[in-house]
Amino acid sequence: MNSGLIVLISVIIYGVIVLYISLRGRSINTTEGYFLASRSFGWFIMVCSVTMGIFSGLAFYGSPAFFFRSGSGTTAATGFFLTGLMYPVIGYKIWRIGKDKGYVTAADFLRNRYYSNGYGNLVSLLQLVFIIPYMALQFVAIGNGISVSTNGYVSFSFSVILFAILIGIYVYFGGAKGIGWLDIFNALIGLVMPVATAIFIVTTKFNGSWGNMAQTALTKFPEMMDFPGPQGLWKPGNIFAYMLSGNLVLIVAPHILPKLYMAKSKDTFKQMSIAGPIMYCWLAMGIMMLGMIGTAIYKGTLPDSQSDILVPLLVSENAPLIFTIMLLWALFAFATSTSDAFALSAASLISNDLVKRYGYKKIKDPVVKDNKCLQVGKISVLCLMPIMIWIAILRPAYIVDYAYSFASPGFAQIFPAVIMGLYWKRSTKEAAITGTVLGLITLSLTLFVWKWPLGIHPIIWSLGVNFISFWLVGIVTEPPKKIVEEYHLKYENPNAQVIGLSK
Amino acid sequence: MEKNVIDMKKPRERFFGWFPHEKVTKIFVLGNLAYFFFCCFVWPNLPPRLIWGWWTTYQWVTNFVICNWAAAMWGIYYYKFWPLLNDDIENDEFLQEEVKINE
Repeated sequence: MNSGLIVLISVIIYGVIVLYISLRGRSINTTEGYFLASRSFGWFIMVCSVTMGIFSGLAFYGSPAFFFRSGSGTTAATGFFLTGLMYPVIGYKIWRIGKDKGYVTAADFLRNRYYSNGYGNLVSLLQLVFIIPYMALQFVAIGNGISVSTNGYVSFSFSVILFAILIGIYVYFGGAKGIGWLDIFNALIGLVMPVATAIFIVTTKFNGSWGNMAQTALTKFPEMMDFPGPQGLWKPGNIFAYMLSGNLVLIVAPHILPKLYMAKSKDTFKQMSIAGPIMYCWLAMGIMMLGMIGTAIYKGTLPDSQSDILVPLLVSENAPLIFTIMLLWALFAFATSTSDAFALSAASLISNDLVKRYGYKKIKDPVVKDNKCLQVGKISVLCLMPIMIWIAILRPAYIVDYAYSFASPGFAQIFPAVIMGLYWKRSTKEAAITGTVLGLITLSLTLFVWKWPLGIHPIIWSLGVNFISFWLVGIVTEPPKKIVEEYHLKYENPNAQVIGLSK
Repeated sequence: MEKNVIDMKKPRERFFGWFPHEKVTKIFVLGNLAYFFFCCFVWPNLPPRLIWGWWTTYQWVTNFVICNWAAAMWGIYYYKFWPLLNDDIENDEFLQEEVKINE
């Protein structure tokens, strides 16, 4: 049988399994049930869901390619484990407030904590705008993965359309609960399949000698273990910047923060703080193995500029078809888990932040209104898919080159408002608006105009400006007393009273 | 726990109210900052060796030192010390009461 056809059948089998799992775990038909799985997830499902949400299909193909170009400093820059710190610091507190007040999205918290509809709408709009390029590039990764793995037997466009249909169906029917169960399945694939493939290639290509493989890589790429690396990237300041942009601040990304509302109890967050770092580092191990093996085999023959096809090339030329299928499943695992989280997040932004606030004003019954808003959210998932297909197939440069590079550090610009809003009683709406806006402006300037001033990553500049301006405005403005009581004293010190505020 | 009256005009509250009041939390925050900087500086200064013949020092240290130390450090703090996660209020009952009141 044609190998391309076999790969296509395997993709369809994966799709059937995904549909089965997600539909079995389908959510209750209320806003909280559909978008937050009725706040019922324990630590294991939470860790799998958050980790797989952060670790995207682009990271799966991109990390070995990054190792191939920049050496093993890539490992230092991952900083995956840092989210373990954030689960309780941000996660627990926002979960507690969110459960109390019925929040669904990040903007819900920010809108109410900063007593400003305008700021809430700004956050919703920014998140919605940047979800689109980030999500579309997952579709591009899948399209490339399938077409390269089948040597063009399955076209890029067909792969993208197939992926869009799959995501659309299971997010529509499964909701957050279906996605959560699916994330466990995907995490197991992500943990096992890259390692199994790496072991097979070393066994067959290097006679089972890992030392031989590593020495070959080092001979072909002598700077592989140098700091700051061949491109001068791995200076301490930039390692910190990559840790921040790649992981620490991703806890507030639009597809991750709502997941924190899904936890079952406070113990979930304690358990996540231990399980999170361990899960991250083991997930990254197989991927880094592929990077080093790829370096040993292809360094010097594959140009750095084409290193994004390293993983599919490595497996299709050095392992039997079954391993191509396994790695394709791993790609699907990483790409679907990020895309479905983004799709659900976009739907909740439309349903909760837009329709629920500004639509159906004549409907007085809250149950009926909730149901109507949920239907709009679910339909918006289906409407999002043609947009993703269009962007993935046409790949307009302004989205691929600009919006994507802006999206990840762009999401991070609400990090100061979230953490200060949770821990600083003097956080005011003026401070939040000033910090976020100046942070975004600084990010645009340091990313596109004065690129990387002093060789320092734009996220350091933008978050620095964001935090400092937030603090400066915060000390000269005053929050309402009611907000301090409702968001701080109630959870930290219920017996205390605040004095010294005029409002 | 903080004092029962919080004066928002006091310099400590006005300028540095975001910094924790509890001694153990202060140590934790400073410890984490030190740990971040240690991590950023330790990687470039590790000897560039292949452990067990193939595992780069950086990956080995990540998997067996940095991540595990972080998990242990945070686990102990959150389980034993952080007041928010170890307060006397039984969380779920507390929240259910709050939800009832709001309804």
